[in-house]
Amino acid sequence: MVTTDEKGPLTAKKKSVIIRSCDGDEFLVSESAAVLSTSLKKILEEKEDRLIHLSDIDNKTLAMVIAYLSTHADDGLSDDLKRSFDQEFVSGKEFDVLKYLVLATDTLQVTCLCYTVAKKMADIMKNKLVEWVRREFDIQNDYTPEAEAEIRRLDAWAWDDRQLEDD
Amino acid sequence: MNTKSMVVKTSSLLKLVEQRIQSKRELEQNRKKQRCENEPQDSFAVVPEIPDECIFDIIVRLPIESLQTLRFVCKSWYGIVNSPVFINAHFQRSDIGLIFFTPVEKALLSSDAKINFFVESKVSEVHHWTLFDAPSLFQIKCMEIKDGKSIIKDYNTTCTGEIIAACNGLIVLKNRMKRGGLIIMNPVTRELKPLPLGTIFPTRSESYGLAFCHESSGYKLVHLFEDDLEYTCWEIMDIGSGSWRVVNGPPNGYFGYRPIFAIGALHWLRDLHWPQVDHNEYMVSMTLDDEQFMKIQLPSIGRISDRIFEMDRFLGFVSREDTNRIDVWMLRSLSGESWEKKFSISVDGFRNMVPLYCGRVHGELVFKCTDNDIYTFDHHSRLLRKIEVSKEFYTNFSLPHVNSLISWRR
Repeated sequence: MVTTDEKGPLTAKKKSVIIRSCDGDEFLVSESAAVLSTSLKKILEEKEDRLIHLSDIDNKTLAMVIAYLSTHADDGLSDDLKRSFDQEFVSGKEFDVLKYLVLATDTLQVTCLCYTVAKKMADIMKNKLVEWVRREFDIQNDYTPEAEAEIRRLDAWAWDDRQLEDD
Repeated sequence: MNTKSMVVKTSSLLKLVEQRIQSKRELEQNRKKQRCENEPQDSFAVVPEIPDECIFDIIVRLPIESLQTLRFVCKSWYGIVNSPVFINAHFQRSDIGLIFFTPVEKALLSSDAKINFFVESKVSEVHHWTLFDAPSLFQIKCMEIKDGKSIIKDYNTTCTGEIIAACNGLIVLKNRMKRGGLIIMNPVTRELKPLPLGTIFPTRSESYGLAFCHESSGYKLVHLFEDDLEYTCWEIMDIGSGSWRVVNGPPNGYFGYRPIFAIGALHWLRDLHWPQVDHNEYMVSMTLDDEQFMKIQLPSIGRISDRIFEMDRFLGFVSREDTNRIDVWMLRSLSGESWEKKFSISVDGFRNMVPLYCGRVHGELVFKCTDNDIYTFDHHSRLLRKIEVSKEFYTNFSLPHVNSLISWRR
């Protein structure tokens, strides 16, 4: 299956590349959008191959990243519009989706998007309990209850524990 | 027109993408469920493992209050939060506020005793401050301005003396207990260390400045004071060594205002409330690396409400040009560069507008007017805005401060 980035005949004339997700979906992307990812840029510089296979990014995440890259490669859009696109892009996304996105942007080295997603994740996390974060990141608590109590006592900071959320 | 249609296209594309994601997610969740039922021990494999670099990028954007709890997620997170690279990156992102101290209300003495952290009890024999017959006790708090509103944060910390210097999240307090001395502390992490008082005590007038020296990667405390014979003296302490040494500074005292640390140097401006001085033409600067003193000419005559401050990582100077105009200047370095005028503010009707600090994230200028009123000026929108501040905050006992995890040891 080939999905274009829907920019019509104008960009179709330009050079484009096909990016394949780990689950086999293929996306047609203009080269100007692809090179906004430092990793893709390197791959394109090294070989003439017009088909790039990404073995660790699934199709849904890749589709989102490509939508982002295409928007940012569009010279017709002002910086203000791009900024509001970025805000729209992460708003309302579930934490699960953001996790895959942050991983993909790290792999593809799309620094700007990586920071936008990281900021959104931090905004969601800021009033959460330790238990919520452990669950979401699937992190095993490697402190024993005694060790955790001891380190919390020895390394106490200034503020009261505030109202925190567990959902 | 063209741009608009593209935005519409992009958003419809986004919608399509979202729909696809939703259906894919449902599929995967079903698959996940089945998998979990079949092989329960393998269920964790479907959650992606986020590498430490990504965790760093996420948690460095958390406010410091959230780090207080979330650093205990696991040993690896605790390690990241305590690493010097993280501490510095987090500090670079944090905004400035004003740290201040207020007298402890008597009613609080008994009720809040448990949550309070009494600074002096950590450096001397006093174990509980309610047993201690102190003439005065202070609470340390800070005031931050966010989205046009002021927030007061309480460190739940009590001390006997005032805050005399602040730099990069560290503060220096006077210890007014019997033996006296100074205390350097990070009010967030509560790490603290006693320091000796200056060589002469009491002094006729004095000021302290805390600053970071890149060459020695350590903090220095600079003490400017006047002895009994009215001689101006300068001495410096490397916080690591904990002892004072005398240095040759300019003879005429630059007393009054606390010095400002920016562009690798401490800068002193004379307080014009003092007799015989009605304007400043110069400031005195001391570079931290080689401890050289120099007189730097100000871009215009400094009047009674004009101040220097840190601005956008450089040195700023605000000067009142006439009754309805304030000019804002910037100095980028001490090596021969000159002041550049950044912008002017029309302040018709405002008299004593004294600059307090410049925000690090949005670059807004924070002023105080008479009657302790706080105003912010955003030079992009050119809006001067009054900020409602709680009555417990009083600017005369405040210093610009950034809440950080920085330690003088690193």
